[in-house]
Amino acid sequence: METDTNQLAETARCGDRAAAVRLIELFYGRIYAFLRRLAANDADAADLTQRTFGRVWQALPTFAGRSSVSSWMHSIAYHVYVDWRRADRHTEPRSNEWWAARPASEARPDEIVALADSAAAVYGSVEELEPDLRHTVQLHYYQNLTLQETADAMGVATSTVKYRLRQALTELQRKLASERTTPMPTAASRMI
Amino acid sequence: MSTIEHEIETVLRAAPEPVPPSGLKEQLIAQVRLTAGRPASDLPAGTPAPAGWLRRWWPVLAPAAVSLACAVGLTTQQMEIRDLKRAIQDSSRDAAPNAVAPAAPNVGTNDVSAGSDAAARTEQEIVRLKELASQLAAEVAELEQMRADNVKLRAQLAKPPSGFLSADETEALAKAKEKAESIACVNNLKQLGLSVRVWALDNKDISPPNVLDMTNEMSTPKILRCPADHAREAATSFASYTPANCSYEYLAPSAPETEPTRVLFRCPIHGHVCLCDGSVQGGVAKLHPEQLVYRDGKLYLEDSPPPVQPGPAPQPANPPPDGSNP
Repeated sequence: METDTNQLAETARCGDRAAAVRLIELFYGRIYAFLRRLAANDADAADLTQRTFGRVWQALPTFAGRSSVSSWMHSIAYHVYVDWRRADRHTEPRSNEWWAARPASEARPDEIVALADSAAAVYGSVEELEPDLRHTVQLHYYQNLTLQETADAMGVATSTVKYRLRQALTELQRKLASERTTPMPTAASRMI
Repeated sequence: MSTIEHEIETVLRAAPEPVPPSGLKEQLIAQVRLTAGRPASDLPAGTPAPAGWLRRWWPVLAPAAVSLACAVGLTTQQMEIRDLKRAIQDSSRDAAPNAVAPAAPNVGTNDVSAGSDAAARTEQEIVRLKELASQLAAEVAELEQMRADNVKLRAQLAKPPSGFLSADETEALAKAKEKAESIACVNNLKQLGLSVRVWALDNKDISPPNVLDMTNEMSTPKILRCPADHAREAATSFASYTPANCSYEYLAPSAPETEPTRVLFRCPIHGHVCLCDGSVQGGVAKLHPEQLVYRDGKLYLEDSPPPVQPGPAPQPANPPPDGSNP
């Protein structure tokens, strides 16, 4: 997969429009999902996705293939998001519950409700993490990037990614343990 | 890794993915702007693009280039300095034998003769300096003489010009001065006569009773003083005018103009008379006093004398009947 995407990037680099379209088809959903989790709403996420791909086409001639196309694009998307926040003086956006309306898997109704409640608690706890920890979790777990790719995308060392993930998991455990002692809001109540 | 941590990771990895809105893909495809570049396979493995390479290394390259330039400059300067030092040493080495060579024979042959020659040269120099001193002293004396002459000439220049004039020239100058004063006196009498006539035009053809009544008709009180009358001063204004400021005798106060030959003003110094018709007869009172006749206390000019050029005041032949001024 990585070789294929790198080949596609190489072809697009030479001016092949079909390869560029193929790259869009492969990555625009993941990039949009990543930015949707970072940004506050669908419109901002779509706008940031367009900016990301505009910058991808600008930077494509300088893409040397030292990293995967996936981590390269996520890095561009992450910096586009940071620039957008700084330029427009946005405060840290808190995502509305993007996970609540889309259950993770198919199961029986009672299982669905139970899974949805536990997943909602985890996702909600992630949203309450510090920005660096939250972004690391999003890239590594949500976007399924490896540690190296996450480090490349965020411009930090791999050891930093590991440390942040450890911190995030510890924090999530603590939050979930504290929530279990208090009544936890259900997915249905969240939607209301 | 604990169980709950594993569960959390599982939940996180199974997170639902937000679905992009419809039409986003088409927009992205429409916005594709590709710039054909060199394939990365042409570059060595791990070699960034030229712009990226330069962007990454310029903070190191710029100081290195500056340091290299400074080192090259310093080396070049050091080499130039070394060459110059060597050239100086060579030139001093070449000049040393030339300086020693002429002195060597004297030192080597005869020290006594060299000392006597030096003494002789010193004596000659002393003689020459004495001659020069005497010449300078002579020049100084000459300059002192010239300065004395200069002071004398300046003193002569500072003396009044009369000192340069002869007796004839002094007499001619005095006559010219008298003539000029006489002409000025005639002019004053003319203006006074004209003032009286102007006053009379506004006052039933009667002359003013005194001089002060016609001040409006006179241009300045200076015309009331004869230029040859050094005993009086002209009034600066009519406000400060007194009879002591007038040199002329006013002989026809409140007189009608029906007597044109009656004497209006008379200058006791030059003998000029101004008649009631405004005319001035120069020097009549001194040159032809017989023509002035008193009738009923009034002075008349009987026969018109021939026109006389105003000149130096003649010797008084007939003093005025009354020497008082009006």
